[in-house]
Amino acid sequence: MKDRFDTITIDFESLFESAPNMYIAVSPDLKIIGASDAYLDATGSKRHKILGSDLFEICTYLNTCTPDETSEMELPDAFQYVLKRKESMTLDVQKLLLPAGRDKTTERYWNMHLIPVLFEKQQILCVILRVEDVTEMELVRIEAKVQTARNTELEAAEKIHLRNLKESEARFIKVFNLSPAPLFMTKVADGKLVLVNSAFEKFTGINSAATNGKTLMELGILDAPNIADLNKQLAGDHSNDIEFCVTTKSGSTRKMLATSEIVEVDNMLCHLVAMLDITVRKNHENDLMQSNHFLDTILEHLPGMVFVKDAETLNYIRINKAGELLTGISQKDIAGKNNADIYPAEHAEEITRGERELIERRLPSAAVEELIKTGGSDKWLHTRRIPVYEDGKPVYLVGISEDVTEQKKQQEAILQLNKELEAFSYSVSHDLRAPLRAVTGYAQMLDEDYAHVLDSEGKRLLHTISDNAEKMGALIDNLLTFSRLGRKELTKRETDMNGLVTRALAEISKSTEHVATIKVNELHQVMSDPDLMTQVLINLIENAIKYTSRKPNPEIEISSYVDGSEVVYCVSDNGAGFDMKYYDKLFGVFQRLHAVDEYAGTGVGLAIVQRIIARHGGRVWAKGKVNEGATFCFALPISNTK
Amino acid sequence: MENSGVEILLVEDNPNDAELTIRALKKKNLANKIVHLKDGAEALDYIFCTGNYSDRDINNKPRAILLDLKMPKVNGLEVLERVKADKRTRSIPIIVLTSSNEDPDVKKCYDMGVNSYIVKPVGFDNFTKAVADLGFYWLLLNEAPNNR
Repeated sequence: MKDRFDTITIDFESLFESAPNMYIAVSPDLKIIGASDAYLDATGSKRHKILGSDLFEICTYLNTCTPDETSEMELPDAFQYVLKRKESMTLDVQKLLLPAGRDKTTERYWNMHLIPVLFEKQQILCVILRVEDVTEMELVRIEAKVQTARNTELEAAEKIHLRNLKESEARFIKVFNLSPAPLFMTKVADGKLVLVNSAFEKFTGINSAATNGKTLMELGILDAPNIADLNKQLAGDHSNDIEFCVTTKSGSTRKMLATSEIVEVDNMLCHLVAMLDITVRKNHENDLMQSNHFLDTILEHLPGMVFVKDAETLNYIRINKAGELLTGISQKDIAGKNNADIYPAEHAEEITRGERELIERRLPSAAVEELIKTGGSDKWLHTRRIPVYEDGKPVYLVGISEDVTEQKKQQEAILQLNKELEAFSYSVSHDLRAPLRAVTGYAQMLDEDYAHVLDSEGKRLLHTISDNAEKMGALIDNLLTFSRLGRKELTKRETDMNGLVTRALAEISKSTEHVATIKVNELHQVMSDPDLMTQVLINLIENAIKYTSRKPNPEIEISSYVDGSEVVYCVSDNGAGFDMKYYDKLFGVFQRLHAVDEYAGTGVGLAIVQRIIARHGGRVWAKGKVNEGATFCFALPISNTK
Repeated sequence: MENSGVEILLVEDNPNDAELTIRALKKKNLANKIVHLKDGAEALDYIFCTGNYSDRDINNKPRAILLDLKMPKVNGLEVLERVKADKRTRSIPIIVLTSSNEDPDVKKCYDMGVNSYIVKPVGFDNFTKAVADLGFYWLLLNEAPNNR
């Protein structure tokens, strides 16, 4: 038995040393008496160096043991406990720093089991320390713990996030509902409505409850072509300028402008679409386009040239068709052309200067006459220029030109004609008068020197010759006056018509005696040539005197009144009057409605009146009735500018 | 009496007008000697003592010239211009005769130094007025009594 035990003892030692686990055996006074290879390997120790040494002295790393929070005891105390109580003891998860090469340590976690080996159940032979390396497990456990802690943190963060999300969603809903623009959200997948705001309800007339899960088409808001159009635009790149038409519950079709954004709601992709009713704007745009088109059409077909220039460079921007014809420059070539391209060199600079001044003074120009270069012959234009401003800054200079070449030619012809007429008048005045002077003069000589040899009939014949010669002289005078009036320059100024009437009456009284009562009312002032206007008054008043001369109580009244933009002056009498059926002969030259022996006259007086008034831009007319008097009126424009 | 030679020089191409003028002036004894010349060329010869009148003395100036404007050869304006341009003759008063108040030549005459004009026919009244315009009362006053 003893032998067997010895054998067993030997076996035990080698067994101990080669055991795969870490063991170390110490005597009751804590001297190392044995260690397994595994232990030596793990701690980097040599058996012969540690055998017989004090455990805590040689294995210094054991002093670094820090017990796990669950352990009740430290390692030295545990040994004392085991030695004293002769019971096993386990220290779980002791962290310690094992030497690992020079000056280095490695952190390990050990479960340590202290097992007393008793001799005959009485005396402690030794204490075996069995070490279980739980580092890997422990690290995993620590990691798990850290992870758990982190997870807790994450959970807390998630909670906050969720709360924020809820708040933000509440805010979004609030904004969504408050928005004055109709908003809706449809699922990208099937186009079904998820959410609409109150503006949408109001706009479409459909309650939000009724919209849920329906498509816009099902609700009758969009028809098939429009939904297709909308979907195409939603899918496109330009999700900011989507235009489509919707039908409201009242049945009206509105044009909408929308912006859209893809959002995720409850794991669904949705289009969030904000709409703006642009029907009015669109209609305005259409109106504007139509009116632009309308104006363009007018502009293009105006017979006169219309041009637009840049206010800064004064370069041409566009011209109309008439301008094209006039300048010989096509509409597409006109851009960038300047005055030097259009006008003769000697005028271009002056015209440019004038245009600049115009823009600076912010005034439209009066119509100016200018010569233009054309492909063929030179043309004369009447051009009016109007500067156009935007926000107070000059932008364009617009011009309207009328081709007055023909008028200009005619004007020159008229001037030539006038010259000829003047020469003619001169010749009339000189050459017709000379024989007339001879007739009167010699008749007078006959009368003076030979009256004694003429009987009464001879004298009557002689006087008839003289009278007619004098009448012819008067006719020539009147005719010359009449033709002169057509050429005389008007010098208009504010005219005191009462003053002119006084002057006319004084003039008349020099040559004519009369008994007529002439009532002159307060007369309006007007712009006129006072000399010519006096002539008008003389002629009209003289006429009135003449044709009332056979009445027992001749009365003449001169009055005036304002009628719209005219002042009307009237000379009325209670004289012989006239038959309205001959009215068209009243103002003709040499036209008379009375026989000469009834009322003398040459028939030029009223023609002169008409001509003078016409030259003032006015008009004349008359009313009359045989034997019941006549009223002659003339009207002059109030704003009779110079 | 250095001026006794010629009182009034009448330059008038129309014989009827000339006759009427001479008759009117003589009838009132306004001029005892009137020289009547038929056109402007003759008038210049007379005034400047050239041509047919080369033996005349230029200092023997007429008291006044009644000058018709519209004449053949040399017209009244040219005569006027020559007379007014010459120092020796500049002081002779000239009354222009015209057919019409509207004659544009009358204005030219004023510009050239004429102070008065008469619209024909020349009669006593308008002649007197023209002379009054010139301020030459003596033309009437001095001579008229002598010949009455």
